[in-house]
Amino acid sequence: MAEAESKDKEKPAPPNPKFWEPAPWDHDLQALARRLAKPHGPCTADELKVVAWGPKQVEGYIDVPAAKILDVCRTLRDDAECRYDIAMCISGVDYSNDDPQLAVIYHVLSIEKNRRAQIRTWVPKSDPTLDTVESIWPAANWHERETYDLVGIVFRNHSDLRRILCPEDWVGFPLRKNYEFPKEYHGISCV
Amino acid sequence: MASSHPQTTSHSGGTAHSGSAAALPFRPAGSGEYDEDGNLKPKFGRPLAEGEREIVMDVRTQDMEMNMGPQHPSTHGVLRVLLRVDGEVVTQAVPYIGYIHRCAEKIGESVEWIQYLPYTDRYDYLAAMNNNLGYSMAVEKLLGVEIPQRAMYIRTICAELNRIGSHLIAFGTYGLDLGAFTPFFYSFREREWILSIFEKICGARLTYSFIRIGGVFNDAPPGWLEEVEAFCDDFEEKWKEYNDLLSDNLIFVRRTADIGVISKEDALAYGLTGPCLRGSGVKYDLRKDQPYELYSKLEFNVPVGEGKKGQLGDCWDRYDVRMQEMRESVRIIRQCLAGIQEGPVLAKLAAALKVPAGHAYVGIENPRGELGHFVISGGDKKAIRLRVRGPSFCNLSILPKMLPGTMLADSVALIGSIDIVLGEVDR
Amino acid sequence: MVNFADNTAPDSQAKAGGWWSDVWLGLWTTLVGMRITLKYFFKKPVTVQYPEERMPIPDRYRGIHYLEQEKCIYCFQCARACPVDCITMEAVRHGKELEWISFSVDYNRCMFCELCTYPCPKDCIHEGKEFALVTYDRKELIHDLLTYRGLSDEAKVRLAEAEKEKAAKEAAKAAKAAAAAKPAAAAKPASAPGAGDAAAPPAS
Repeated sequence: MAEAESKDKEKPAPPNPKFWEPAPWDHDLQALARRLAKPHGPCTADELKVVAWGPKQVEGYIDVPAAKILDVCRTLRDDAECRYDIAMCISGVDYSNDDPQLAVIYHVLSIEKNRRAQIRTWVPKSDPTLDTVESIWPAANWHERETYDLVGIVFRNHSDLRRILCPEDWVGFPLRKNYEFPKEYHGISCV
Repeated sequence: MASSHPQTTSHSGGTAHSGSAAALPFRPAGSGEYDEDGNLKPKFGRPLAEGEREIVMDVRTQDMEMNMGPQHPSTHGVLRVLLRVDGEVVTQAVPYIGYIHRCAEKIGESVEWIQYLPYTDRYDYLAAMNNNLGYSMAVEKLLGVEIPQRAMYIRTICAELNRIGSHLIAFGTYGLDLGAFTPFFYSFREREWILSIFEKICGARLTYSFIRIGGVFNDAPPGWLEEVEAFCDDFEEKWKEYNDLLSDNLIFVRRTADIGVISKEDALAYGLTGPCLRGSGVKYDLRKDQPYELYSKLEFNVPVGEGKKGQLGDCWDRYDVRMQEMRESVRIIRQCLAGIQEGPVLAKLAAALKVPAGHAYVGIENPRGELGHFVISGGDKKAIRLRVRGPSFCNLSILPKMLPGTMLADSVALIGSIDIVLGEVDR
Repeated sequence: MVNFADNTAPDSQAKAGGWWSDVWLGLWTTLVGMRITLKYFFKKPVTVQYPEERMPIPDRYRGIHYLEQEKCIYCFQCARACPVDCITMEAVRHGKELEWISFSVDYNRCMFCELCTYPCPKDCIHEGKEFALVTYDRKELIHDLLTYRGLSDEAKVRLAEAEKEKAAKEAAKAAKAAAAAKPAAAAKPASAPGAGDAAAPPAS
């Protein structure tokens, strides 16, 4: 019995061919990109790059230029087609050490339309600054502080950009791939 | 301002009390402006009517900064709130968090997929089943595995039982915060039963690590489903007692109704989810609006705050939403018990799990709100990035907005009504 | 200092009614609660007096590990599965037999997740019902799960038998070889005495 089970374990389940399909509440990213482009939104059509849902990607998102993130987010909240009233999750991502850029991914939710969408933007590691969207969603305040704390992305015009989870005198940004674990902190061994 | 002024014990001055001061219910001493004679300028620009009395400030107070926490019984963990108080009135509040920060997200990048499971227990330790479920679903979304039906039923039963257990803590400790000691014991009596039910299926009482990627670890032992049924029967009776003990108690109502009102707009702007959002009258529940697992097949109501005892969105409404949700959870469990069938409980997965590359965000309805797991895989044994969107973290961020203008004693009622778990705020 | 009447919004004042009704409602709702307390006052308590009485521990309880050492094949699956690397083991292989040196679990780190028990191919590591882990020193929290060190008695017997068998096999082989060598030696009788002569001088 046990042997049969262990043999079964070696055979992974074939993935459901439709597993990556967006749910009914996921915003059609092409439509959203059209909405974010002029005349409704701030971007030109070629500035937006839609990475669609797919088996190798699973969740799609729209790449938007970092300079226009504030306007894009304002459109996301105020546009009649979008109405994204909750900033669900703002996450900074360091994909790899070779990548010269850091990504910031915004997951937004519209309660009115019961929809979700993701947008992504890139900032260079040499100068990781980005406009804050705190003025649009106050919820972004703590998310951006956390992103600053752990990934080291500096948000311009943020009202209170301090470390939030790590202590004030912590060195380095833990979620960067090149982060080195400290040997000790205030005389306390970390090993 | 107060300290710079010469006439600190003046009996003259004071301001006419405006009845329509809803925007600022208090007029803290020392916060007004003074004219040349040292009298407070009328704040609302209304001259005194005939026969109207002035409220005289006897002692002009100075702002004082004080720490609430990190070791304070009503902060439910190690939360420190730096309060600036003017007498009894809070004028500013700055929460300091991170005392038990473990950087779960970094751990997620450095351990294998299945090994991260025990760490999910540790952020919201009152609802560990839900955390397991959220993480497993996020990885399953990338893997594209299909979960056996029986596993889904067991998952749903466990998640809902855990929701009841978590809300029981919220109910019990909220009474405790406000000086009602008895309900705490009653809530723990039922919670104890829930924990022993969990102990029978997975062997742990708090950190379950039971719901895993691809299903659940163990099938239900013989007699387990019957015991869950017995619990449901018993709990519906006990639930009525809770209401008698606390919900309608006038002292409790007076301490929670009209306190800490969160408007619908604020709730949305600060990204509140779960009972805090529903307490403000927004009918939004992921189980209903974006159903996952079995929830689309199940029948249940989404309780929202109605402002029964005061304004809509006050502490009592949030409390009441949790109470009602417990009953709905019992309904869900009953339907699952009726529908559960024999079968396997674990999908066949490779022993050394390699997750295909991709991004996946999965939000589930935790007892405290939307618990989101955002997983980025590079097709390897470990994650590239594992972001956790904790509901308590986001719900707590409204504190600096809510606290100013309330009485110091109400800040306890307010923090308790958000029902935070610091393990998840700090992660 | 401030007008405390401000504290209660006009709504709640209207709902609450007058002072007497407040007193009455306050008393009544407290009495409703007290009735429940009174109801349970005469019932048996649900609590247990811990050190004397204990709650029943279910079969699947995740407590301190125990190892079925006889079954263990030293495959490291449990140590690999552990998220906190708290299992260390050391053994020497003598053919099929294992000479155990150590198998320890560091309970400073262990979080009783039971992930170590699932990948075990021989189903030999389990989490038991024991949970009290109180010590005066952290070093004492590193538990050795071995019931014996070195070789087990059965293994010693088996090893001895195996060695005997091996020796017997070798002897048989040697005998066979010798048997095979005899006809060869008979075929070349001249070489053997010659070799014996060569070996003789250093011995004498």
